[in-house]
Amino acid sequence: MSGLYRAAAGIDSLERLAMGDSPVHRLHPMAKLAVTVAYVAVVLSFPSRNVSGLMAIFFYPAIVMPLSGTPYRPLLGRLLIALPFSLMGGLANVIVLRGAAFHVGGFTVSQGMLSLVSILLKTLLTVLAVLILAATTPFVEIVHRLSRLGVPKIVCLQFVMTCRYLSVLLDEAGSMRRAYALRAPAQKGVKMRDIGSFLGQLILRAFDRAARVHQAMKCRGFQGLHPGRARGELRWRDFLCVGVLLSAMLVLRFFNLSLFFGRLVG
Amino acid sequence: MWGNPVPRSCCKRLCCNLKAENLTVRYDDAVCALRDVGFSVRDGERVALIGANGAGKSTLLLTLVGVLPAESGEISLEDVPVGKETLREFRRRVGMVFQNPDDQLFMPTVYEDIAFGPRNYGLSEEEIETRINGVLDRFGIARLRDRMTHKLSGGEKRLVALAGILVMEPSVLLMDEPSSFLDPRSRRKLIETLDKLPQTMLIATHDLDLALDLCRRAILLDEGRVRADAPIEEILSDAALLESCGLELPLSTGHLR
Repeated sequence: MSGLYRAAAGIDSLERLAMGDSPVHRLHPMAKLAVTVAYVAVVLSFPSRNVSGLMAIFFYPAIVMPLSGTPYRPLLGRLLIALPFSLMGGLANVIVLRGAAFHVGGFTVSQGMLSLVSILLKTLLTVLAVLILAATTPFVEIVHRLSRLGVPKIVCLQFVMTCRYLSVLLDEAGSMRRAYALRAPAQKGVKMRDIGSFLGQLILRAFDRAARVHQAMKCRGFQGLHPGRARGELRWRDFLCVGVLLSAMLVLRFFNLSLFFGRLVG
Repeated sequence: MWGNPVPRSCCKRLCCNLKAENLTVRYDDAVCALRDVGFSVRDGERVALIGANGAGKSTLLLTLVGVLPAESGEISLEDVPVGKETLREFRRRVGMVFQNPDDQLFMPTVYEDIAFGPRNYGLSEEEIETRINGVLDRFGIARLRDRMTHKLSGGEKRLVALAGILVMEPSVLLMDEPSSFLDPRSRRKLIETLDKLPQTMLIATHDLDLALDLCRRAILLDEGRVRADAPIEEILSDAALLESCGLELPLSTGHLR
């Protein structure tokens, strides 16, 4: 029960961070969106054996997170949700790719192991980049930019509505769960035979709510999502940031800096 | 047709006369929710819509703004009947405040939510910003401007929902249970806020004391029919009439008798 309430309370912690103020927050949303998309593309384009190259591209979160004052804890918690999925995919590679990649001391690292590490790193970096975007840019701004970039308005509206009503739905589920628990004090959780009507009730309530929200929208002249408040033009500062970050990413993508420094030291 | 676009001065003049004639509304399951309801509201008048649960108050409000279809009857504003072509402009001039602010506040932040209506009506962003700042200042809630809507308290949500309607500068306000979910102080603040507004109002409420504070006239609904349409003191001091409609005398009518 308390889990549902906690989830409802913490669901907007990123959005609260996004309301903050820092050099990163002040950048134009379009600039941040472009950098994030480019970063994800660059990370994904690394060949799976190039783990050292991936390590160097950590520079982006390492610079942007302190600069924006984003705390690590809420982001790391969310990162963990994504990891199990890629872990399962990566484990399959460990079984299939048994050829040796290199030797460290007496220990042989197989290609599968290397690929596993690379998949985990890629997941970590891409999800982190998206979380940083979410923690430094209000959600509505991101959706408005997506809409201007040609993402269908109906999809954008779904994003906005989900963001707004997820907490309402969790609240609803939480109070139903509490009402259930108070009348069934001796048991833990909802009994299997009651789950059907519990979820059914929740869906019916959600439909009712959706109908009322739609009525309220119609009363205010709704005819499709409006692109919203234009937040100024892109300034030279935005272009400079995008330029510097993109070139840094490209340099790190095609020039293995870790290896270079390794050789220097060696 | 009403003048379009409406100059602001028009809203101050409050040239509206909302009229409903022979409204009958039936739900899918053949339950008749409203039968032959008719009334008219004069310019600047505040009318309380009272009745027991299921008497048809909310149905009437939703029918007035064209959300529920009427089986028969006619609604008009300033003698212009509401039809398909006029519905959009009618909804701009007749603002509806829902019972549960959570149904109405669907944008993530207060600013975005209040801007929702004016944007749908194609106002410029500068005009929208001026209007929003004006309405927030008037309600003394400028500090809520960038807050998230679902994190507001009940009283704040109610005021923001009201601001989202007033920002469109309507001439008529329809309100469904404006004092529900409010603690006594927020309720008092809401009554004071509403009392200062120049708009014509139709307030559906169980809160008879609020009705007595704000309105001079009341329409009493019972099982979808208008049972009485008279000065509010007259209705609220008629214990027999109220009882037959499933209501009780309000606490503050002691001085009326």
